[in-house]
Amino acid sequence: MVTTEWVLDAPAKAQRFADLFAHRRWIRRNQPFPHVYARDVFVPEFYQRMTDELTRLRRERPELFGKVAADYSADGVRLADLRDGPLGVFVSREWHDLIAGIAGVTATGDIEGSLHHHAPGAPYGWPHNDLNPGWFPGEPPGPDEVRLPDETVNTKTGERAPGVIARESVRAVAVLFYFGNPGWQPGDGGETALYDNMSEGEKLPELTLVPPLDNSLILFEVTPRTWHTFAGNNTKDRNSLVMWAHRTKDDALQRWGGDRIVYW
Amino acid sequence: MSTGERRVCLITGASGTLGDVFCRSYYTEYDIVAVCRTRTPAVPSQLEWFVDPLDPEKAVPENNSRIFVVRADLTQPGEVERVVDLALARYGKVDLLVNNAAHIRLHPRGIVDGDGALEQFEPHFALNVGVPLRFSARLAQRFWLHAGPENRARNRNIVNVSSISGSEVYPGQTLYSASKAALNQLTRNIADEFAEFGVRANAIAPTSFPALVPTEQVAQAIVELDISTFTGGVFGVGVEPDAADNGRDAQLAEAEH
Repeated sequence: MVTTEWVLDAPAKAQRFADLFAHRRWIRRNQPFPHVYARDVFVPEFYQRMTDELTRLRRERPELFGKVAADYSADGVRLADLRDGPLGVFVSREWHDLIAGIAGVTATGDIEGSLHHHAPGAPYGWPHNDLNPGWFPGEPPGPDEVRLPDETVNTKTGERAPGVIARESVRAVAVLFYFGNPGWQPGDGGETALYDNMSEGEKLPELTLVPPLDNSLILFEVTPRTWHTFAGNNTKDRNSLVMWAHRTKDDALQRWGGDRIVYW
Repeated sequence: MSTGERRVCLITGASGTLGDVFCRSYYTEYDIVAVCRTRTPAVPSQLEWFVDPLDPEKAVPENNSRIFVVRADLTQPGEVERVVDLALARYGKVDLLVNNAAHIRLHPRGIVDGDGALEQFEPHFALNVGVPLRFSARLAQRFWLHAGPENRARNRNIVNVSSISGSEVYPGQTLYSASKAALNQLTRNIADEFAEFGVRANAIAPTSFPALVPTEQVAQAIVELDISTFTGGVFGVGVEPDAADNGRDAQLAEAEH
């Protein structure tokens, strides 16, 4: 049974979400691979709340900033630890549906990611395509839910205690939102490099450098050809929020074939 | 998508300061062939277009006016011809040719300070004079030459983007100034020759933009010339009022005096 209250509340919630965005003209690009780019993503007031939250986290919760990966130069905070503040917009079902809709992907409701911080002088990363698996706890989330990794299941391997339910899915949509990098100028480094190819010996790949401009983002459907990396050489702190929405493994296998998925 | 009604503009240097502003200001009014070497203007094209994040399946009106980006190094053999072929294949006509691409290297210590100025002669004249000459000749040969009534009915024309440096002396700009002076005279001669088949030719000669004159005003001057009936003129943009010819549009002033 649908109550009157629910009917009234859903549009209001959708409107509140829509009101967070500064405009409705994001840019869809097809080179070097299909992606969406947007400047001035959120309205100034909400963006300010995000940067204030970043400042607060670094000041009051430094213990949250752990090393993202053993061979990666960023430290970060997991999305699961950002749910209560303005950065919680990234773990909302509305945001999940928005990024899946733009990418044209049927996503599962499973999301992962973290706030990344690169200290000045971070090294250049390595090209990767993000077509990686992810393990999530529990049954699939409902149509209005999102599910994040937790401590009961190893996100990369699916390793878990006997009896713990988990599902394997595959990264389907990647989002990099840049914030907390005021006054970035060409030469300050820390861009995201996009590659047109990774063929060996033929020719050097063309690079497209996406600057980490405040309140901007890049978003793309993860494919075997979405080669990208952190370009390093940042002269200042470089902050971003990196996240993925997932598709079912069956969907990924049908779309890309099993040999294209990059296991950890 | 072109409606077939809009005027077709071929503009070189489309990703530079003026070219980008021109494309952003007029992409819904013209069908634009935007010739760029590396970057592209920030408007919908076949390379990028808008999406509504909250309704990604919904059509965005601006996407109906996508420019057509052609990447080219116009100083390379055959590139001008390739661009002309692509423009005519895409739209079947060119109503306005804007020769905007330019090369500029300053020599603040003069032309006798080493070999820098001598080495920069060819690049300046190749792009600033040779490419406008080649575009004008090829478009005439392949399209305009035998279409006099249509040219006149469509008020077809060429706008060469010159500079106030083509008629004034500014230290360090010797080669750039000389090339723009040549472009000014090329414009006058083309206007005289192309009158036979009804294609006008003019030049604008802006002062420094955006420092001294808004780039939008320079872009507007191109459109004003496109809709005018002038030919054979070199018009200053942002120059001193005493250079203006009061009988003409207030935005445009005779650059040479």
